[in-house]
Amino acid sequence: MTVDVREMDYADLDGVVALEEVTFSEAWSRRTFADELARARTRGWYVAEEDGALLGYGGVMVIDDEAHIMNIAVRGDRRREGVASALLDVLAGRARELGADRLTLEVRAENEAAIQFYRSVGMQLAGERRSYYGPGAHALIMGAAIDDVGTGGGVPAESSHVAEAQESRSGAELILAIETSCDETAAAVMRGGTELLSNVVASQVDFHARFGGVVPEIASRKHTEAIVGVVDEALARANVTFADLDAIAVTYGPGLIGALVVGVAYAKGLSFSTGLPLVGDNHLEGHIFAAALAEPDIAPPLVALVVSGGHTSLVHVPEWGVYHTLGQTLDDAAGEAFDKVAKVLGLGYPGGPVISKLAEEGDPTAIDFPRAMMHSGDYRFSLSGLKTAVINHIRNEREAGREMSLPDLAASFQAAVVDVQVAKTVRAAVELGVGTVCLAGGVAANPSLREGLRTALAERGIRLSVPPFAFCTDNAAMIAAAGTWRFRRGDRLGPAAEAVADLSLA
Amino acid sequence: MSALVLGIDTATERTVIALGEGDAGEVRALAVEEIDAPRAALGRLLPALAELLDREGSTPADISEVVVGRGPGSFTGVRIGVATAKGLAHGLGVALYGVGTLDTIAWRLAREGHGLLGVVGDAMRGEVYPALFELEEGVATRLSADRVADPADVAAEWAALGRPLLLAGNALDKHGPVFVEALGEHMTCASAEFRLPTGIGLLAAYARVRSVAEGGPVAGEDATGSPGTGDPGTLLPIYTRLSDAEEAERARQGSAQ
Amino acid sequence: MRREMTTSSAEATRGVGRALGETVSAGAVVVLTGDLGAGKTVLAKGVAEGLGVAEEVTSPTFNILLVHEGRVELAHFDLYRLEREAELEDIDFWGVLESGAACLVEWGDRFPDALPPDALTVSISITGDESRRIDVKASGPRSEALAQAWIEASAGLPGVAVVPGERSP
Repeated sequence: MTVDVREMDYADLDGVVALEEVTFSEAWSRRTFADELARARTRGWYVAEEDGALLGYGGVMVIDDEAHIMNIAVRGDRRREGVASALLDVLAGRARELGADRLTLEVRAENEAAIQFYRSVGMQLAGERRSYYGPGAHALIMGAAIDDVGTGGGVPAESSHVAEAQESRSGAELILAIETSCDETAAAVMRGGTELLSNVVASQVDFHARFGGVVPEIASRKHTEAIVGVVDEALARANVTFADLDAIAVTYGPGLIGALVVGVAYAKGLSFSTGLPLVGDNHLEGHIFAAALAEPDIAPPLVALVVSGGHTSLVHVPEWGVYHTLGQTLDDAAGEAFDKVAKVLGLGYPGGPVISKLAEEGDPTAIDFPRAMMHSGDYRFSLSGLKTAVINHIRNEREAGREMSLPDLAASFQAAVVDVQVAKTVRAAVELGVGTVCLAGGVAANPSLREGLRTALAERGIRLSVPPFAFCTDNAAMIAAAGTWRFRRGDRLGPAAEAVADLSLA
Repeated sequence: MSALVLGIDTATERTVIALGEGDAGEVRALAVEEIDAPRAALGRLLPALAELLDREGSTPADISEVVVGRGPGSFTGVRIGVATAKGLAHGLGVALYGVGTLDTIAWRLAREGHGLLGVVGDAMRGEVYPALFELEEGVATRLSADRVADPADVAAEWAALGRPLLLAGNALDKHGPVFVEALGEHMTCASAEFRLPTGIGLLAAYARVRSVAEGGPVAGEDATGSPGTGDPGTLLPIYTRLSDAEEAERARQGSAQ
Repeated sequence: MRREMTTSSAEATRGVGRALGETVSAGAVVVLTGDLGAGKTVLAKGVAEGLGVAEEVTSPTFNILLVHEGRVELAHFDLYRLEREAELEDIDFWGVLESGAACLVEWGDRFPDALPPDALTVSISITGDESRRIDVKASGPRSEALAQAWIEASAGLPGVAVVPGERSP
């Protein structure tokens, strides 16, 4: 038998997913595999083939010095022929290459054949995770020092995965970042993750002011039209060329799919033609990094309140790159609520700045709008009821022929939004015992929210980090900051990468 | 020294990549990759290009010019092709030109025979992107500009020409019967392999567009818009359908003048 | 042709959705309408479940379109945020509709001209705290077949009642 083991590619996914589905009851989806492949710098995924036919596959993840076998599967009719051993050898080799000195994995407690196999290659029982695979389905943890793992099959001397170390330049990397996840075409150049050399936004707010609301149709056309000019402008203002750069970073989600694909396609083309590594960024992670742009000493553990036109989430960040979403909006995002209310009042787009300006002159206690989910006991938000209450109030007042005080209305609506956000954020920070809260996203520009949080947190000795106004709205500077961090970690977006509209923080 | 030209088109369900050698008026195809995978262009395009360059023993740095199919076709598909081409040309510092996607079909068929050709691209929503060409001695001369139309209207229009007509384009799968009914025995359908854009056709259409860009002779009526100036910043997709907002904007600007 | 079902709880509404997910085939277009809070998302979650979608499905208000993998690909639209029909081209609405995915279009009634001629329209209305009336309208042979199969599959579910007889349009 001649089994070839080679790196898994996106083109292998059809076969891999099919085998996964017949092998495991809780099968991974194609998207999960694709996501794994996109994380090439900390993973190793391989397929075993015979004359081009898929026999099995396996993957390993390395975090610091510990490697974890994610998955090994072999076709039912080709087990016990050494396919798993061949895969394990390559996975162990890859793990060593990534600096791991220990290998672990989980296996179903009742899967004796697998347990026996892992024992035969030197792995030992290291613990148990009860009900890991569902109620009553326990997992055994097996582990070994990586040098003790061996099947005698030999480990390939080298693989094409070898890290292109940029360590010598760490601290001064020059990154070009591109952001097209919604209605802004943006590019920025940053050195060393903090020193912003340029930050360009081809603002389309004129179009939107004219047509009212986010107009995605125009967004993706504009991205296609503006992207080269915006990047040129960012390079020129930073006084650098492509040749000076160390990497390119691009937002690949979440956002409007039609808008995201333009930035991702362009950035992949640019990376391919210049040979520069490409880093994929999460738009929300970018918003959280925006706070650190102004205050570089900000560090986890922290709680981030991400509030924008598309998001309202409370996120616990125990360390950079690890995100636990505590709760999010069940319906409208905060920015969306501001936009909709502004629209009903005929105040134009975007609604946030107009309403907060009007509110300065108004009485926030004039109208008692509902504080939805205030006492729900969790970290979820709901804003659509408030929006409806405002709309009903306006209709009732108009029908009754009463003169409405726009400033009072704006101030009361804003207070209802802010109260709930402040209360939940403070509670999260206290319950999780963090010393820092980051306010992130477009609505972070709202003075009332900033002030409300600042006061409430100061009383409890918790630091509030708020990004400068320029970094609250969608921009590429924050993508450059997050991108630099991901670049240093070795995260890369491959040429086959897709845009992911519902990319989650993980 | 001859130039290495890269062509891509992702406006339809087929992702087309072509490497050619040559310059104005003369482009020899070196290698072509055509992948039939609907809605997969963003994931498939660059890995396939890498493989193709590899096979040819070339690197991205060898590419001296890029040409892209500007549509009309799937909006997202066209944008993926155009944005990728912009990234490639911008990063390499080389010129980027555009060709009409329907022209790439016509120029391939021009090598197979002569006569009148109607290409109908699928515009979805029951509509088509029609374009009429005269094929002669390997040259496809455009007789109508890109637009979006009802297939029955197009069929009637073409039937009124009273000439034998060869038909191609990816709308035939959906709307073939409408054309059969209107054109009857006047029409022949191109064989399946020529109905969609091809690498050979893309390079042939490019050769013509390139000579237009250099101020060379233009055969027949040029109705498909400019090939661009070579600046990757200004090249745009061909949409044909304006958004309501753009229509309104156009009207507004018109009335302001 | 129109038909009608009633559900007595959110779980029953979700169950009806699940039955739809189990019956729906590639390329079907289902338009989902109803007031805020009527339970469009609950029904959509059921459809996803019935299609074997593993991830939790929410309304893609911000993203407008999200695609999920299941027995058949599920394209889930929420058109609430769109202002005009032309914006649908940005997310390749018609391309996705004709791509073979099972399409669930929330707030699809905002753009009636944009919908294909043969679609199933499901309208949910609030009749009590948790009880709902579900109106089912098919506009072509394909959606008619789907409506029949779906209602048959739903008839025996707990908390679900099929209102007998076909109401004329």
